[in-house]
Amino acid sequence: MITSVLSLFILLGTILESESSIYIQFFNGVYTTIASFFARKFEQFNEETISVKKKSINYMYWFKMIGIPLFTLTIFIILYQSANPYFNEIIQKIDLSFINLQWVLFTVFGYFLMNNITNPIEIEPLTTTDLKISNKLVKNETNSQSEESLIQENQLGVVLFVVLNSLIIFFLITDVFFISKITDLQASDLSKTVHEGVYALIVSFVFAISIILYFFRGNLNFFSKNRNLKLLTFAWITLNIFLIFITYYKNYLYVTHYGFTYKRIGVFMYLGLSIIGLVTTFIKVNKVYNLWYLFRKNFQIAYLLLILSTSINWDVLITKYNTTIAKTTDINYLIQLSDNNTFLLKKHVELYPNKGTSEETLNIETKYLDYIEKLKEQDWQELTFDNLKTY
Amino acid sequence: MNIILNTITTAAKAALLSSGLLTLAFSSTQDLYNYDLVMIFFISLLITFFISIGMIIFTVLPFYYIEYERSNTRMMFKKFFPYYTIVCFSCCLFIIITQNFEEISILLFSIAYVTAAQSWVWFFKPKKNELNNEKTK
Repeated sequence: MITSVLSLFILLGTILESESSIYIQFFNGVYTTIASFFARKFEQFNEETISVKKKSINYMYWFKMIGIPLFTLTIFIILYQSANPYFNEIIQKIDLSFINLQWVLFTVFGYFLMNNITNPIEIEPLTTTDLKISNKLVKNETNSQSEESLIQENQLGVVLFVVLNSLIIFFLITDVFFISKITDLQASDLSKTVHEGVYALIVSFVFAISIILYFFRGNLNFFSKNRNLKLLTFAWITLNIFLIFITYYKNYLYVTHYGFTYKRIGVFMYLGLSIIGLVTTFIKVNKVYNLWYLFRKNFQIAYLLLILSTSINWDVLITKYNTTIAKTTDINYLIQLSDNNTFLLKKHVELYPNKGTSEETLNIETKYLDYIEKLKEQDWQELTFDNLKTY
Repeated sequence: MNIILNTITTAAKAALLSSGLLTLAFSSTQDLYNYDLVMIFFISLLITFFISIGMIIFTVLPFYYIEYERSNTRMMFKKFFPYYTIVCFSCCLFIIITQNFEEISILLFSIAYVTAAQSWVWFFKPKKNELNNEKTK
């Protein structure tokens, strides 16, 4: 659902301004959906001249034309009701209970939303600024650093990246050594290694990208003697990517032993996004792009991954993997997943009746019967592929 | 722009709007007599008037004072209104979610959002003399 709402906002933003960045499109979409009506109303006040305004909406006229006759009519109806019992009986028979005010409010809200969506409006200053900013970094001539300060900054960068590269090489060697011994470790050790390793990686990548962005924020990009600094930066990015692959491997080992969970899939996703972040940072430094390039590309790729991830039936994937490939299976975890894996679990119990405990088998049976019941109660609008399996 | 007068008139309009919506919503959700609805309308009118004044003073006027020397009301509206509505909507949505989508919270915070957004339109709406000045420029 989150992806659908996000996509709707981005679609609206794209219709408004296809050239703008994806996050600006998102904000434009949100603004259009929630406030287009108010913004357009405000614009109307500005665009109308006073004379036109007077001509177009004369509230007093409409009050006189509708309000006064309505009020008078009501008074006379009340008077006639008490004067004539037959008239009173007819009036009493008028039943307005079919008007459901909640339904009216719901419809008005729907009209408000559709009215906003069909009349999109953009956040003007934000969109204009975004369109003006290109991805290329421009040499700052007015506030340029002196040659001496550039040399000093370049030297600091070289020293820092030499130290960081040495440290990460040493860390990688110890990590590879650790992986070679990992077969002797218990589940809790492996879990601790993967999770703590990932938390540490999150911080280290944020620092890594921040340090790179700091050094390549301005005129150092155009400094003629920055070749060594660039090479060391590329080396550091490559070593960081190598570090990600090692963590990937650790998580893979963990998954092959104990199966998939959403958290472990999340770790894979995060590691994938980290590689993308580092690659885009590499491109930024190599092609002399600015910070906006990083934001634009990374948000685009993250959104693309989100869309792709929604096309995968994760519950089925987790269940299939955990029951067929993983060395140990946590059936209770699989039972608490959505109904999507019910048929797979049922098949698993039928194939291996003695594999789980009797309680687990009973829980799977209960889940299966509940799901079958639910499928049978569904209307034709709710039919899914699973309904066919019940016949 | 006469700030005090504008604040009071905007607060009065906002109070009328929110009280009207609230009474309408109550009449559809609660089994109340007409007398109760009239009472609800007048009590909420009084409460929302003071809330609206507070809301304008704390959430609208600061934006006005940041920009009033540099630009006109139209520019102020264009500059700040989008962010204000997004933040206001997010806060209302957040509260509705934390209240587990209870009917009463959806009702109250939807009305609060609509009133807050409409108050901006009323507050920054150019006055007739401002329009005339712009036309003559």
